[in-house]
Amino acid sequence: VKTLRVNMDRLEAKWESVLPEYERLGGRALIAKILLTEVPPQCEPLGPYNRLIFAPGLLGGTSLSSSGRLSIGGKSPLTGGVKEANCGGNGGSDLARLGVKALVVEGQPTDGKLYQLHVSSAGAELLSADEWRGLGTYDTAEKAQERWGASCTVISIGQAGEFLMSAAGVVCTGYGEQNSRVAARGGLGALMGSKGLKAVVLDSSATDALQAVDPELFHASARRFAKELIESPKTGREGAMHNFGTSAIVAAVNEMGAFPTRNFSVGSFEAVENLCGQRLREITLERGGKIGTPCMAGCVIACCNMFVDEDGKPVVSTLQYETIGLLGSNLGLGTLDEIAHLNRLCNDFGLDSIEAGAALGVAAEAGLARFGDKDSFVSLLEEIAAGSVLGRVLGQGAAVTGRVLGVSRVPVAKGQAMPAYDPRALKGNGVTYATSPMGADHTAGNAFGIRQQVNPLGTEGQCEASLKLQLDVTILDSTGLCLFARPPVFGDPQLMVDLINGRFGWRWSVEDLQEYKKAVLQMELAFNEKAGFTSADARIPEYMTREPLPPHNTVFDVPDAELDAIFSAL
Amino acid sequence: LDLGGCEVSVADLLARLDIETAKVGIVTVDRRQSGFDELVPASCRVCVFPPMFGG
Repeated sequence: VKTLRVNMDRLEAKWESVLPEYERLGGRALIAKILLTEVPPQCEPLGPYNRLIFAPGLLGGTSLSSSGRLSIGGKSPLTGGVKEANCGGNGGSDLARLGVKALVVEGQPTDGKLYQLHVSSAGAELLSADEWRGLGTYDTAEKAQERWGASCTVISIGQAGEFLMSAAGVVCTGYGEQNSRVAARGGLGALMGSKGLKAVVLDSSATDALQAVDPELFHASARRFAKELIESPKTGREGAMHNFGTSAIVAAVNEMGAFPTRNFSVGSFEAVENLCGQRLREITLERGGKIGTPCMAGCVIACCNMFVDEDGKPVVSTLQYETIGLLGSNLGLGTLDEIAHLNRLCNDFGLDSIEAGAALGVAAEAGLARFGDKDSFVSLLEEIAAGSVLGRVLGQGAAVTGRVLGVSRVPVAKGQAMPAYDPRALKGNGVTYATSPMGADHTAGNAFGIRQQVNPLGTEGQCEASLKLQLDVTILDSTGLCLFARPPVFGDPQLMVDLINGRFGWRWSVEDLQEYKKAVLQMELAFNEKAGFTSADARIPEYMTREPLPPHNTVFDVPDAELDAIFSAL
Repeated sequence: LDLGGCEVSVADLLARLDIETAKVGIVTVDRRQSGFDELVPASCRVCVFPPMFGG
């Protein structure tokens, strides 16, 4: 296993031995360590000193179900702090099977041109991609696969990344029709654009699944892991996640009053029945689309979909909960067809649908678009892709959009747009948004899952619950496991230990695992502190502490002192 | 559902609707999350969802 270092100043790719201090780290943990070790925390995110890092998880590239997520990271152009965003698809597994512990992109090209990096068993090479300038991610992937083969994985940026917009994500092809998996958050597409890197193409066709050092332990653990997922009432074949995907929770979050509607002004949407998981399933199957399909080979959960139009033509894979919230109810749009259209544009332009949806909601509040009028939002997205002045404002995300347009009701934390849970009605998520080193990010510790233990509308116990969630997800993000695969390993942490020990022959204990989780958060917090973050950055926007959110008419009122003390036990 | 003026718990209500509690992830009563033991007030809105979790 090697580190692949790509220097964009010299336009060279070099294989290096993995540093000893990086050996036991993967995915998010490795990104945090590289950032803390190699990147000046106060550097310009779009400048030459920042690094763009691609890292599979520790369990990536193996035969383990749901383990192939790809972590991408760097200093965030959006938040100015540490950033790891991960995506499904084939990228994580491919990189791991190609023997890449981390792909670290450094420097910037001096010629202003765009490049592609091709990695295969034969090696790595940088080639011109200037002919792909201005292409969306769908066309970029098609061009790359025409050149390198249809089985190659393509990780690319669209127009938003080329324009260095902070709402830009990185898009990765996946299994089958799942051609648009997005490491969306934090503006990593802009970081990739700043490196002059249009695409990374991975050809793992000459590789096999990675072998375990202790095959008996690993395979027994992997079998148990898959069996528990298949038998789970949530993730099994009869479960909501397989049958409805992430959209399963639309109706529930709406009923709980936390579903962002018309720029987070209301917590329930009158047309929710048209957006819920049941409706998505019905019309997708009626039209000949797909439900219950995997984004990565061998995933036993298979929670994805292929949404098609009335003629059965594919529109987007996968239409997900967060997008339904931010590009749907948040914009007052009440049909899945409208949302899918906007989602397709975001994926093509290489935009984070959460950040873009929040920015569009702010723009609508400023009068630049009309809630409920899809065409007005399409026009704004097209401004982004065209790189007009207005588009460049919107493409910088919700916070910049609010400042430029004079809107103070902007749903962000650390400058990053909130996902589709209003923190006034799901206060645990508000704590996570405020305190996570990542900014407002539901995947950093989603309290929707602990609603039975902690009253979503109360303040008591929210910080303790959020901290536990924030710790637990670090190990998923560092092993390449999907969030949905958490029940078996959260239920029995020894199972995670056995998987890791089986894969590498280590002798970790459950206590070691807990220390690992703490170390990840500690590294990320240390980076942010050195970058200049203070307690003032660990807050929910003021208007959410003053303006009650219907229907519960609650505000976010977890005390600042509790937010400030959340990590004191680390 | 007409409960005939009887005071019932969420669990009773689910039983009357022939819904197994093992297949229930979330119950809300008038938009607030509810446990199986809680009483269902008259003229309220009850929603039942399967086990699920957020992304």
